[in-house]
Amino acid sequence: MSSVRSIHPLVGFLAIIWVMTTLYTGSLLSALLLTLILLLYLISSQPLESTRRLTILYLWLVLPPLIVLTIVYGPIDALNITLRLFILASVFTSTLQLMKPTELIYISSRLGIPPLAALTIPIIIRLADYMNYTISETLVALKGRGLSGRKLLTSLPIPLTAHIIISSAQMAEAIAQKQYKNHTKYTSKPTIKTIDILITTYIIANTIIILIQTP
Amino acid sequence: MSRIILEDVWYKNIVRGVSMKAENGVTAIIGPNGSGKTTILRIIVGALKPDKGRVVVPSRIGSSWQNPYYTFTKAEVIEEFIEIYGDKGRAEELLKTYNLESLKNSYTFKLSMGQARLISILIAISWGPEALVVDEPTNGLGVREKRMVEDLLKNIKIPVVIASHDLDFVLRVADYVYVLSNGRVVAGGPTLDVFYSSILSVLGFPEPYAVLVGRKLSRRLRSIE
Repeated sequence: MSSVRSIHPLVGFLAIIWVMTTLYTGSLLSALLLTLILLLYLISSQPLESTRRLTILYLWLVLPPLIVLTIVYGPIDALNITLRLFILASVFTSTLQLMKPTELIYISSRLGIPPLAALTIPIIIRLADYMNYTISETLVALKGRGLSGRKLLTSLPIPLTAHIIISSAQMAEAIAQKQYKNHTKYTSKPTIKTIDILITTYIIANTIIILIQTP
Repeated sequence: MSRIILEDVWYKNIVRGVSMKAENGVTAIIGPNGSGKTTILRIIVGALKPDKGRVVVPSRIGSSWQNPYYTFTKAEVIEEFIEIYGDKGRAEELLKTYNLESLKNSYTFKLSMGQARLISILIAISWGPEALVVDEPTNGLGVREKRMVEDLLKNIKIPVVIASHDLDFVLRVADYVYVLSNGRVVAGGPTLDVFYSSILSVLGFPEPYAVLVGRKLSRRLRSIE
């Protein structure tokens, strides 16, 4: 679940801002290429099972709008809108999963942002894979007690909520056992890696090209 | 009569050409960690779709998994069974039958692992399934609870498939055993036949105490003869 590879948090945020701006200005291809680079980098750093689950998540995100929009606006417009949706979703998920939390706190503390606020979204996205796994395990267990259809879905939040509460208590105990107070290193200074240089160069080069092409 | 049949079932690199059959009685799947035991159970209940092979299973399968707490949807134990039977009297009677009256008003999510597993298995068989699947039935169980699960599984009149590391428990409860290694069935048959063959020691399993005693006794008998 946790990636061994990472990107510099500032480069991550730069990528998000640039992709959003580029989508607004209309250079779909440049945004898509950067998104694919980030996705490939993320996929190469995580187990195949996580990639499979990520793919399913994207399919769920992209396919229903594609079908509905095709019916309403026709295939070309539907593809255009859905592609933007995919780019936005994947640039957020990949960059936030590739940022190291300790490096993110380091940056945010220097910008005056509370660590908790800075950590919330990346943590949710990093845990999405585990949440997905827990939901599927719970669904199998509930089916095993004869629940199906609407009853299955309405019962799902009960064991899930209980699991969250129990797990939190266990985690708190484990952290206390590990004498977390003795660990003073909550942050780590981000280092600039080849991938950061590659992404930044790509963004700068593409921005220059777009600016030149703009009349 | 319901039964579970798997014929040449493949799932990624985890399950490789597994064929097995479970009819009335308890069928156990044993094997080292990562040998594909849980994956087979998940294929049986339909949570995973095999890449290849034939799976014949009844439409209603009860199951209890490694985390028994996922099964619970009510605050108190008795409420779980009232929901299933729609009748407080029958729910109380069931708990009485299995000597679990003391847990009647216990909070489900506060049960110990052993108690939770016991209740989870009981819930899985109470809604009238045609087969039962239990993953690691003895995980976290004390001696008394282990005996209760043993009695429970032995007296069910539907096919039961369990996956377990606990060879002593398997020896006591199972009628048939399939031994898995690297996703393949390397041995299968009546429990005593499999346990007395050399396959368990080849796979590095410690022999169950009863088998060890049996071997020593048979050696002594032979020496006397």
